[in-house]
Amino acid sequence: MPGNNRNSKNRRTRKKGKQYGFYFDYTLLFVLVFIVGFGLTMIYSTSSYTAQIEEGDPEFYFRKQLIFTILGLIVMAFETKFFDYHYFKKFGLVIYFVGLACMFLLKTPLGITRNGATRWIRIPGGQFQPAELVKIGTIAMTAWLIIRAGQNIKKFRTVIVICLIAGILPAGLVYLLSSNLSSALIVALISVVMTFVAYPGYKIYIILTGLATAALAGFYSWIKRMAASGNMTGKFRLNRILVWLNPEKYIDDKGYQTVQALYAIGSGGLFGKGLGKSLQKLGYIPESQNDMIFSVICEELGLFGAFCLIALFVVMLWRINHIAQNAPDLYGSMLAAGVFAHIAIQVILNIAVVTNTIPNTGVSLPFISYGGTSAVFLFAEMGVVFNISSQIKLER
Amino acid sequence: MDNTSEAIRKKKMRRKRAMLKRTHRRINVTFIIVFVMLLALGVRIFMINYTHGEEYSQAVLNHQTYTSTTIPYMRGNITSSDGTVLAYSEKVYNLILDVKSVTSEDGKYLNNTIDALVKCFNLDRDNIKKVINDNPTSQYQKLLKELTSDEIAEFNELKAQKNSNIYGVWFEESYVRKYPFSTLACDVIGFASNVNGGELGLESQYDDELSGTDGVTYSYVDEDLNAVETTKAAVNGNNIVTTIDYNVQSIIEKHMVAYNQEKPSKNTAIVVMNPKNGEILGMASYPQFDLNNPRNLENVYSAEQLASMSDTDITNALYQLWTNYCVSQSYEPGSTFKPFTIAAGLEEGVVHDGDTYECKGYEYVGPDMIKCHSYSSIGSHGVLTLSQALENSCNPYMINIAIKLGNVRFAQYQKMFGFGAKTGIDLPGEATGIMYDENKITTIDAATNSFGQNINVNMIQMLSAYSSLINDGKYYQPHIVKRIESANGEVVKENSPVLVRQTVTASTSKYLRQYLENTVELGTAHKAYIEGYSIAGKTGTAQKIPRADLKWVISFIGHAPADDPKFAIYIVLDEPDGTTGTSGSTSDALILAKDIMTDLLPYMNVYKDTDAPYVDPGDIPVESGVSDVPVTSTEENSTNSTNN
Repeated sequence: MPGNNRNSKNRRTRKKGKQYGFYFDYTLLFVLVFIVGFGLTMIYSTSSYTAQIEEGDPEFYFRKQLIFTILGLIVMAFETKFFDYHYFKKFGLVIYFVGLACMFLLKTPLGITRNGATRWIRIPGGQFQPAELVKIGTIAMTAWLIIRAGQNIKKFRTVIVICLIAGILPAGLVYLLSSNLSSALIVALISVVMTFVAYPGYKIYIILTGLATAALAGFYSWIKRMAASGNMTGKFRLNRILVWLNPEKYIDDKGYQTVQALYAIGSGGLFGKGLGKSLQKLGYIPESQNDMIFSVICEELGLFGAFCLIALFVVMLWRINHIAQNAPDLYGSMLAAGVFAHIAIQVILNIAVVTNTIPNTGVSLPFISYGGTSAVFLFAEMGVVFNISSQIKLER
Repeated sequence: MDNTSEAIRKKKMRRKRAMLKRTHRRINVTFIIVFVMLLALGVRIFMINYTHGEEYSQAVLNHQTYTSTTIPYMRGNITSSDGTVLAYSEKVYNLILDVKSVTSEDGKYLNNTIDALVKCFNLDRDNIKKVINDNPTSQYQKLLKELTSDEIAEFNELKAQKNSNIYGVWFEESYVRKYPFSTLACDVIGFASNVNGGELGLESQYDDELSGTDGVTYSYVDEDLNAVETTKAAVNGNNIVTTIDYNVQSIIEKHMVAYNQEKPSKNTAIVVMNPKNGEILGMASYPQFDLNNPRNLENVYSAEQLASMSDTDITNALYQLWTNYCVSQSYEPGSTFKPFTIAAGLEEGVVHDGDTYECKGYEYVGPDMIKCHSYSSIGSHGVLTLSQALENSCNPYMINIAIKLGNVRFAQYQKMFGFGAKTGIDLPGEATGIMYDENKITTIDAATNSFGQNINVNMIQMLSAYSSLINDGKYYQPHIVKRIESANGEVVKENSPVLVRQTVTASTSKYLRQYLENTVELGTAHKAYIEGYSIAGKTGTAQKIPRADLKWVISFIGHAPADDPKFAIYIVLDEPDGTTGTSGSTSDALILAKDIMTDLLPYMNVYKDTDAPYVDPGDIPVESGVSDVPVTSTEENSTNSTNN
């Protein structure tokens, strides 16, 4: 039988003789380069005005982001060529624990507080956000645990355990140590999506989705009633939801950013005001190069530009999905699925926040928003995906 | 052993592959879920645009104007050709109280700020408190207007002190237009206001050039709720350099005012031009007004008169005061027109230098008898040469030339000299005048036109055409702006002299210069004679309509030196005091011309160049108004044509 197997392999390789050997997903590379280039353009467009005023240099943010992008690309190229993704079986666990350790560093003098939140730690030559490292750690840990579980993954109990260890625990730490709800949510969701991919059944997920929907609907109607009666002051998290329900009522305060983003989106029209011609970026949307950058894209490039960008993300996710399906082994599939989950969750959450579809929480748009740590780690994840793709054997 | 391990391995492989396959399917499911969610978000973006697009676009625009303030541009200067500034804009400050800010922080700033305002600007404390109480949310209450930088310096010093607690007061920049010489060249310069821009004269004509573009300051609130400002500077207006010579202008105005103080006229208008390039060197018209206070009629009307005037009366009075007689008024020129008739005759060869004609004291044109002014004084001029005809201002000689030319050619010459059409001088409201078309002119029209009746002209038409007569026939475009400069002194536009056409030949021009010199030396314009200088010129008298009122327009047009003119001057006295109801003597115009030229000649570097013998004024013929009136058989004819 192994002989048979080998025969069939030989037949196939002969059939696709020209593609034998090294495989590389050029489509994914092209889409990635396109998105990154687009992102840098938009960072320059959104930030040049405020950078000129605050830093006296319109290219301040653009240049910093360019440096991180180049750094990220180098990391990505190195991983693709030299860093076999199987090393992650051990190295990933190290990342997981280092990430968690770094979260605790936030509570030491190394932590940097900005805008009332402590989310950065000082490292030689700069600073970084440990939450980003935790995300990678979660991907590696979840993949490793699924492989270790083997056939046990068929039991939903195993799924719950994996989620607890790889997702909920680090998410809880992120939330408790940096009060960063959005990053915590992303970490937890990554492990949920990855275990969903590995678990064989649908029924339990359908039931859970139904329950969650019902709970949210109940909560929503309760909150609406409470908002109408108006006795909800003082509860910060709930305030955030009140703002979500009626952002224009809170325009002078917490609703300001959301309303300005909506103004930007709504004023863009079909083809937008033209690249560089946003009015809302002129100080109305605070730090428009960060989480709210998508609203400026809508304003400058219109529905057309927004849909093009969404389409680019769909193509990118489709290619990662393709690599996950063709990975040489389950571990590769799971790692690729993890990266897929990470990017998909952030894109969806970001656009949902910007359009006020969900309550405001700071989520950056992958490869577009300004942010050094996020960029470098995303490129590192893409490096893993490219490494998996380069090991695809042309038999199944 | 081998078999069982092989079987286990096979089983493992199968399980593994089944698991992989399942995983792959579920990755696809995940992808589809993600795709659907992104699609839903795409729809959401579309819906935001679809349902709120207009509202949000409006909000963005409102935003923009709400937080921007205009920085006013500085209007350009108007200067004379020698660089004297005739009009400029001065930066001033309006004191603005931001009530919302001054009352913020639980009134921490309130007392100190009000103390400073009272101390520095002598404002009434209770008034300030009233403004604050009445407008608690206002951010713009103008307390004082048009303060100078010196006046606000003390306050700014106080404010800059540490812990001054002065807050919510700022100074809005603005400009006020200043005219340092008040009345000098008032009709020419005109005035401008911040609201309407230029409203008269050059200020109106060159409003687009003098105006700049406002700058803007955007201010917005950053994430820490700090106000951040960014500024786009204003572009200041261009400066206008006129051809007006400050000294020439001062000289003519000095004498114009002095004359009118003695004998007030309805209007006195004087224009001085360089005949060799069409530049206006001076232009003045009486009555004058103060450009810094153009709506003040106190200089022209008494307090009682003003009290009795209705709003309409005052408006009309202002418009009359603001009218630039030199450009906007048309009138009958009278005998100053005669040189043009002679020039046309010489050009066409119907009359030659030295040709004689007998003046009988009147001339019949068909059934109509037209009298010469000599008819009532000495009966007739007798036989005259061409030069003597001009010297004595003889009407029959002119009628004779017009008849010999024929109506059509006579009308064509008038047109060629630029009558009946705007000269295009760069001042607003130029009058066109009235002239007979070559297809409609009758012999009686041509005959009366020949000595300046039944034709309406403006001063610029006359002086430009006269300049061509004495400048070898070269008609230059009259203009009053030499060049336009940007705020930092670069030349934006240069108005070089434009030769419009050749009106007469050089030889005709030479004859006329001689005849006109003779007229001052020996003829009716002798009162303008200044010993030692070769001055040329011609007088004119016209009786205003209705003729029965016996009101006159008297004038003198002339130049110096006679054979190489450095300037041409035209003086028009409308209803001079001395002529009302009397003779219409031109002597006032001649004396005024002499007074002006006495000052003007040395300034214009004209040297004494003749040693002409002294002529006793008693022997000099005079032109008097009454005889200048043509007596036509039908009075109707005359009025019709002048009203034409």
